[in-house]
Amino acid sequence: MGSTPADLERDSEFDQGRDELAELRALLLGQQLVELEALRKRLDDPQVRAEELSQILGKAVALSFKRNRDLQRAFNPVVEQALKISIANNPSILATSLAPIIGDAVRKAVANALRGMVESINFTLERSLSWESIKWRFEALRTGKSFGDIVLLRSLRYKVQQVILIHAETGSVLQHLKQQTNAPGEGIPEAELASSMLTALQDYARDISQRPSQDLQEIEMDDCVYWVHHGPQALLLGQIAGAPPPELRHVFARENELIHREFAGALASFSGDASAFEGARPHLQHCLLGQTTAQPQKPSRWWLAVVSAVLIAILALGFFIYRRNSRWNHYLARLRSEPGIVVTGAEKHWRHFEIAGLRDPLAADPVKLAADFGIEPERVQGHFEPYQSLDQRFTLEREFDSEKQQLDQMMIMFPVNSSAILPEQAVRLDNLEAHLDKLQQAAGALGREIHLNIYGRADQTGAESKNAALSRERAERVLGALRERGVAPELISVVGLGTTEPIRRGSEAYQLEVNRSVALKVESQPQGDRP
Amino acid sequence: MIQKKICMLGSAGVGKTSLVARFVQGIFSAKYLSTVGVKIDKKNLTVDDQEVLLLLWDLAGEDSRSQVQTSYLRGAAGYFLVCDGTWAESLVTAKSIHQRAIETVGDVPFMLVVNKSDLWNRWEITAPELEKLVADGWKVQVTSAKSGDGVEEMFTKLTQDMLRERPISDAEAEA
Repeated sequence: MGSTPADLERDSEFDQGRDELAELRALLLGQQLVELEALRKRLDDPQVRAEELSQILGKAVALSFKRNRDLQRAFNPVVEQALKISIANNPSILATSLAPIIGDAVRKAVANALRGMVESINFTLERSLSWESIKWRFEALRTGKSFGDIVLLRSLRYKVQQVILIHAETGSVLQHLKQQTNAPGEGIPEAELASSMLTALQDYARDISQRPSQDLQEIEMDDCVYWVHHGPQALLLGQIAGAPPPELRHVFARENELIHREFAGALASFSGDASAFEGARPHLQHCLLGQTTAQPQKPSRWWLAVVSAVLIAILALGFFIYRRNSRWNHYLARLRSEPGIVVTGAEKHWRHFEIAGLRDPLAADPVKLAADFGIEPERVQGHFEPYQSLDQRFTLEREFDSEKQQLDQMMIMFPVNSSAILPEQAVRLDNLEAHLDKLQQAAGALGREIHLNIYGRADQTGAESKNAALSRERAERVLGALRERGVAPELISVVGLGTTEPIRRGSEAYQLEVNRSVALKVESQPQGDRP
Repeated sequence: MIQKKICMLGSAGVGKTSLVARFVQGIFSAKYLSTVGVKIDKKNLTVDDQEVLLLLWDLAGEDSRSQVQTSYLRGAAGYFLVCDGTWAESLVTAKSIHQRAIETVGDVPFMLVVNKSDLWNRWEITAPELEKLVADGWKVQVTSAKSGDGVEEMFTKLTQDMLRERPISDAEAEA
């Protein structure tokens, strides 16, 4: 398309105008234009932008974090995805990085568990056979609670006086609860300082032991002990009086873990304001154990008195039962060894005794024997059947009695007004001598001495003075006849009774005849008793 | 009530413990400082209508034989770098401690405290030196533990800074 001269002229004017404008722009904005150009280059060139961004990115992220959490939220999926990819590509990188932390954490967890277990075993062994533990086990069975819970509830040996929740990093008090008043801020004077000092001591202990992962678990004082449970972000410090059971550690651990779960956000962003931890009080309250039982209780005097009385009663009863049994046993032994007594049954009752058996009539009275052993005879019921014991003593006794009886019944008869021994009476005398001999032998074996009294009598006819002489004469005749038969005269006494003690009274012939006689009477006594 | 942990850092003998003693009625004996390396005191303060409980960790001073135990700095919301105006070397030490403190607690409020203003005629630290630090963004407070000058101010000012620095809480973040 061709241009007319008019067009060319217009163009030339336009160009001239543009140049002038450019010149004017260069004149007015020269420096800014250069800068604008440079800016354009910076924005267009990714390399330059990246370099610049790298210089401020750190500060920008920090600022954003201070302002709000948008960036964190935005990063969340990116970081998660990046971790996933990293693990998928090469798991060993992450594993190597985590190994030192995981190893340490696992070691700590295992050590804690073992420590708790060892303490538990020791404690269980200590009390497994005690009366208390049996009582607690029974209570656990009865109430359906676990044995551990009952131990915590009933252990009078400790009392958690106060619990402090401490921020691990700053040592600040997050929450504080003490026994009785439950008011915060009381109890350990200067709880804030104490908790700060604890964290300082913890740091110090780690420094001097050169073990940065070691935790201060326990501080022991004379009258109390401080237990510390370490969570990742908070410590639970308990001041405990007495000897706490290991179960308490589990309670501290459980509550601290719950606090970490419930207050994870508040713990992570803690900057000095503890009001967010008001809700942790119930957890601390759970750690204040032993509050129902208060101080390690001393048994009350009343209780002590009752226990003493019961003990004394039991001891006394035991003593009496022992003494009663012992007396009874001795008594039975004596009865069993007693000649002429055979015990076939013995029974002990609450208030009386019963014995059954056989008894020789000559044997001692078993019921009366009881008195020798401190047993009241009226409490003994004896059921004894009579029998003849073959014991030598009893056979001798029986022989002695029999001979004595024979002699006592023997009479030597005399004719009227005479002291002559008739021949048939001489046979009697022989008989008498034989009996006397046997009696003497039996008496010797029994350790007795015998004495024979010979009583002469006369009938009531004739003068009394003559009768007295005659009766004496008759007795002496018998004495003489016995002497002749070898009987020692010192064993025998003679008495003339005359008619003073007639065997029969009356004047009939048979009554008179029986009084013309000599009768015998044997006396015996233990050897040596004779005056 | 807000609780804040503050550390006192600096060379041995610059007057850290005296500054704290000026400020609080302590209950712990100074024995702790030589044994455990730290003495802790507390002080209730009201700053900008906000009640604050300050936990003052007075760390054993640094000298040629021992360095500050930075583990005690953990969790600090702020710290003082204390130096002695009459002793130029103590400012060098304070700067060096500052570097190590940042590594432990990060970018938290701090303040340079130049003590012994009562001995101003013997000062070795010069005004231009301090002006340069102020220009770099440092807060500087001149004090005298002996007369008490500037002591209240140093604690109040750092507390104000710390309260301003308070990171957002979860509730605020969710809003």
